Amino acid sequence: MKSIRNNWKLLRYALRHTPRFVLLAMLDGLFLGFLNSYATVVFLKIIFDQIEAGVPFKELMGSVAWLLGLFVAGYVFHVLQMHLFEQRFKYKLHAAVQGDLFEKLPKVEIACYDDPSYYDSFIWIMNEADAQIYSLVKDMGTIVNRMVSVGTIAVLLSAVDWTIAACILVSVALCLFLKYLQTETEYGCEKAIRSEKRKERYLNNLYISKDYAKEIHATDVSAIIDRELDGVIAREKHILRESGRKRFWIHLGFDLFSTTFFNVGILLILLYKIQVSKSISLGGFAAAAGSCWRLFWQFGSFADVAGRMQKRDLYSRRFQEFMAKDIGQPAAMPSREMPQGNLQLSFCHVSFRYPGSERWVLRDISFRIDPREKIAIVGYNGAGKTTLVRLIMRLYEPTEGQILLNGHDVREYDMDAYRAAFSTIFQNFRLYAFSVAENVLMRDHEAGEEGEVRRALEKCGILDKIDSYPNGIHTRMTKEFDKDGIELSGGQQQKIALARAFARESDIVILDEPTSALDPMSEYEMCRSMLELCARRACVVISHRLAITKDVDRILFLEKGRIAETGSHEELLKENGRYAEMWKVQTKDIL
Amino acid sequence: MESSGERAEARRVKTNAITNNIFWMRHIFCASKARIFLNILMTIIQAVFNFIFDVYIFLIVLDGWQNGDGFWNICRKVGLICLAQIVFLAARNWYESCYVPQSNLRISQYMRKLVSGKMKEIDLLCYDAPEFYDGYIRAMNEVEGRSDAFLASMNSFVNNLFAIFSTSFVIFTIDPAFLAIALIPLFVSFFIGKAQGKTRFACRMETQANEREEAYIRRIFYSKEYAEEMRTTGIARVLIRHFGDIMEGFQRIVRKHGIRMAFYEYLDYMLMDVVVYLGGIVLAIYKAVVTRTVAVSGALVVANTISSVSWSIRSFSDILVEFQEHAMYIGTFMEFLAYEPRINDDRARLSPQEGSRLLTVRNLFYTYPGNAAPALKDICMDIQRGQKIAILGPNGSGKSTLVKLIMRYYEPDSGAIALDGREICEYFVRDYRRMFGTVFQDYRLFAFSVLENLLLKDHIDGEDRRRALHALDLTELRDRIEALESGIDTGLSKEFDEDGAVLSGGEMQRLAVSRLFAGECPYLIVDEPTSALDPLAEYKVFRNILDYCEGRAVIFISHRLSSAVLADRIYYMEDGEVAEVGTHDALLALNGKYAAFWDKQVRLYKEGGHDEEH
Repeated sequence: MKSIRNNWKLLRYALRHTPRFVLLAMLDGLFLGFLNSYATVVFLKIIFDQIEAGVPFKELMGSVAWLLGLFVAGYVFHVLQMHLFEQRFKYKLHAAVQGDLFEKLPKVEIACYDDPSYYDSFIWIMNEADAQIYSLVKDMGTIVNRMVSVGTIAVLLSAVDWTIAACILVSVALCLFLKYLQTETEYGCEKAIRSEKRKERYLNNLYISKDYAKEIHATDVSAIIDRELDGVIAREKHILRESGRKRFWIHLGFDLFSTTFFNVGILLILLYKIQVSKSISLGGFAAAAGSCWRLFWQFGSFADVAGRMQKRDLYSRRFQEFMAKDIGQPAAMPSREMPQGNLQLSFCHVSFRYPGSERWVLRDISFRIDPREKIAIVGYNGAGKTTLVRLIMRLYEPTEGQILLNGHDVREYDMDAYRAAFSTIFQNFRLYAFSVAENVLMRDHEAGEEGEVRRALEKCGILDKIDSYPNGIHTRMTKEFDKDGIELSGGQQQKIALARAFARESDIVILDEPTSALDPMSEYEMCRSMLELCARRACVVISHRLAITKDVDRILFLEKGRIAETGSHEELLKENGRYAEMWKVQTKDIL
Repeated sequence: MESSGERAEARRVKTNAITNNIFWMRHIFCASKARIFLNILMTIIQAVFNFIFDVYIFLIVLDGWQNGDGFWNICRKVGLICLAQIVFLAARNWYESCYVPQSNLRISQYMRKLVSGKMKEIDLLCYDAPEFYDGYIRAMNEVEGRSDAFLASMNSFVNNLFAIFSTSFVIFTIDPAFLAIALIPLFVSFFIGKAQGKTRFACRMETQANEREEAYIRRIFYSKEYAEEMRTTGIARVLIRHFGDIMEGFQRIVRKHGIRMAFYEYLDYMLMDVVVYLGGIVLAIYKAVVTRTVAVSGALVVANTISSVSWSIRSFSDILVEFQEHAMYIGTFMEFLAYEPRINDDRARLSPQEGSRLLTVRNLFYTYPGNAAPALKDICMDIQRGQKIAILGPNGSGKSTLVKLIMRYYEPDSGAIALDGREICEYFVRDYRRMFGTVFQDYRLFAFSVLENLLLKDHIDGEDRRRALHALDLTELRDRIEALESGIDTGLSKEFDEDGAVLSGGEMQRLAVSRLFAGECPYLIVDEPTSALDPLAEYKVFRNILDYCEGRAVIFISHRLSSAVLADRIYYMEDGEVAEVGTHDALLALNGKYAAFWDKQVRLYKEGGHDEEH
């Protein structure tokens, strides 16, 4: 069956990382299964046969002593396995799985984040990853356990009377089949309800999250939220009602076979054998009768395992797809060495629209950035400025046209080496709950780099503020994990972001709206810092604040995805076109 | 009023395990009337049948055989019992497959309504108080899982109780001595259980910090917001390294506690398997073979069932622990529900009138709880209907805090705000707040229709629609919106609607500003609404806001100076105080802080401005 194959693939993954875990789990299952069936079935048969045969008390105690020895010695292994080995392997597996996912994720195309169904599924994969694999390994142990128990019991019962074994097998087959149907129905229901659950989570989050508090308290939007929630719940009820009927019949069948017929039927057969046909001994009866419900319970657990394997099948397929997903690099193009210094970037008739969208965001863009040249990109909202940055950073690929670096298509260069040539500060930069140094360097750093960090912070005018904290640049930022973590205002945060560009030795700096959230004082200081930053590098600045864009070598004015005007500040003013209009509007009340 | 500001303290509700659990039961009853009763009924009948099938039928068969009963007689007796069970199974499956899922939904819906209803009342300050906020999050998260767990515990309780009594009775009738063996674990495992619990608790405390940090790292990896930086910088490696450190930490904790936990577990197994099981069997054999006081069949029954009695008794103490845990979580829930907001309608008697004219602020002082320095010092302000007020100043000067106090999100430490001569606490909170139309910097849009995002209310009529469409005109969004799949009824974002619209940053900001025009509020508060707009758009939006102001009061908060020039009055704030007040020209003439502020802005735009001194 396909699900077995997919589960096996997942198991292979676990074997690769923590082979001992799998081995120990199976050993544990083997041992426990053996101990269990011996202690509860085989042992009883032996003892009661001996009683029937009139064996003296002292010899009976001998058999008991055997079992005692087994318990005392054997459980040592089991408890160590449970509390020591298993726990350690659990974390090791977790580390391995998450580690692999973490390595993989940044290589996934950023466009996937925009596709809600893909996004949902990879969140799901990430969340479920180690739980699924861990439960698979545990299930391996359970399977061995049950197989040993069931095997022992079955052998014993066959020795007592083979017709019993046959009855058991038939019942079991039926139960497994019904369990399979049950799992399919449950799964179908879960799938149907998933999108409603997601909406439910979104709506509940509106109440939980601080972000929406003001709107909820100041307006009547909560009436809309409540209305939508009622709708979602009503639909969920409907879905559950539909699948409820199916589940009722399947489960009833399962119960009938496993409890009523299985238990009682076999007991009556045994009775017949011992009473009427007199073909089994008392010991045999004891063992068989006692083992009936135990067998049933074992199979119940086995059926649960089978059910889990079924559900895991789908997970396994998605997981494999995700891990095998090709990195964005088109395999055909060979890797070219990145040139050192003197980088020239050019756009050749680049057009772009986002995947799945009809609207062209950029149309026939052509321009060039020479080494150490400073350009500004200015324009109306939705004109495509941030998209341009994303294309430069190869987060997306042009739909038409080419981007060239020193004359060669940028796709020929290794992605990481290419991106290393840029320092990009996005409009929505983030700060991380780690040390200031790590937030500035944005990479793993060695011991001796403190000086660099401090220099960068000083150039941005925020070193004093950082030094005022006891741990200086090693203080954690944000109060996420540390009550004494550093919380900075918007302007101060932007200085940290700029420090990143200072600390990184790249040929090209890209700044996307570096001052839009700052007050005029901070903006003024920031401009000064930016000038110094861009002194010996090429620089691309995107901004609405025309004050900081006016001192560049060249300005590109974007409108509706096309370059409408280009030239220096003075040239464009003289042209008296769109740029000039924007300039006049912004400086109307000021100059 | 407390001088150190408000504290978001929940009234300390006495958490008593019994009252808490009863509280929860009462609510489950309200949500789904028959659930508890049916739960218990099903469990009891199930337990009865379990007993019958585990023990009683076995006894019937054995005794019947030993007494020489006919085979078919025995079969008939057993058959009747089976029939009864089939009927019960049908009922139980109906209960589990059809009734329970619906009931669960009803319960979670009910509980969430309780929580969200309360949530609408709480003070905004609570969101900043981690003890309260964390409790609130926990309450919301608890809702679904806790009811399930609670009912499951109830089941186990009834089940075990029944199993203990019935099986003990059977064993007792065979020979009371066996019960003594079965009861031994009750005492010893109590102590083992406590020691285990303590170790587990210590372990959990130690892992908690690690778990939080791990959750944080995972969040970053799959959040869209971090996606760009993850690819363009080396921060991913930093995260991976921190993750590795956390994993090491976990391993260390396991090593520390592992052996002790293994030891306790071993003691446990020895107790149950060696003492009870083997002991019971030895005693049974002794009584059957040596003293012959017990029939062999009886010995068989004991051997098979003594373990289950012990486990049932053992589980009983586990169940009590479960209820303790429930009580703890329910306690947080109850605390949350018992919270009494400071900002309430206790002194309210009126609603604001149609023709409200004057809002005054007098000697306002406010410090955020936990902060040393006050955020606002001795603020005085007058806002007349029809006026345009600008509040300017550097970041962190207290502008937003002032507005939050005016909107009565916080209570001042001292001083007062009055509307038409009456203190604002005399007005009903809800009606008072509806007077303000606002756009804040951190506005939020919802995944509902554009129309609903504009009006932010349910029950929208034709007049409302007309106003909403006109609002879109004023922010030049009308064409863009009407070009969408369902026009103004299109959903924002693809959360609920495959054909939902995804707007750009600037478009979203315009939509937020449109809210101002769509509502009909006499007071408008506009806080940095145009940072994402280009200068032309910014200018147009601004002009429209100004025009819309006729007959209303507008408060602009900004550090962009274009808003100041046209204001009737400017309040320049610095460090929580009003440093200067006046019109633009008057303040420039003063040549003080405002003038310096203005100068900085101008320098940037002048030629080579930033090459000069500073």
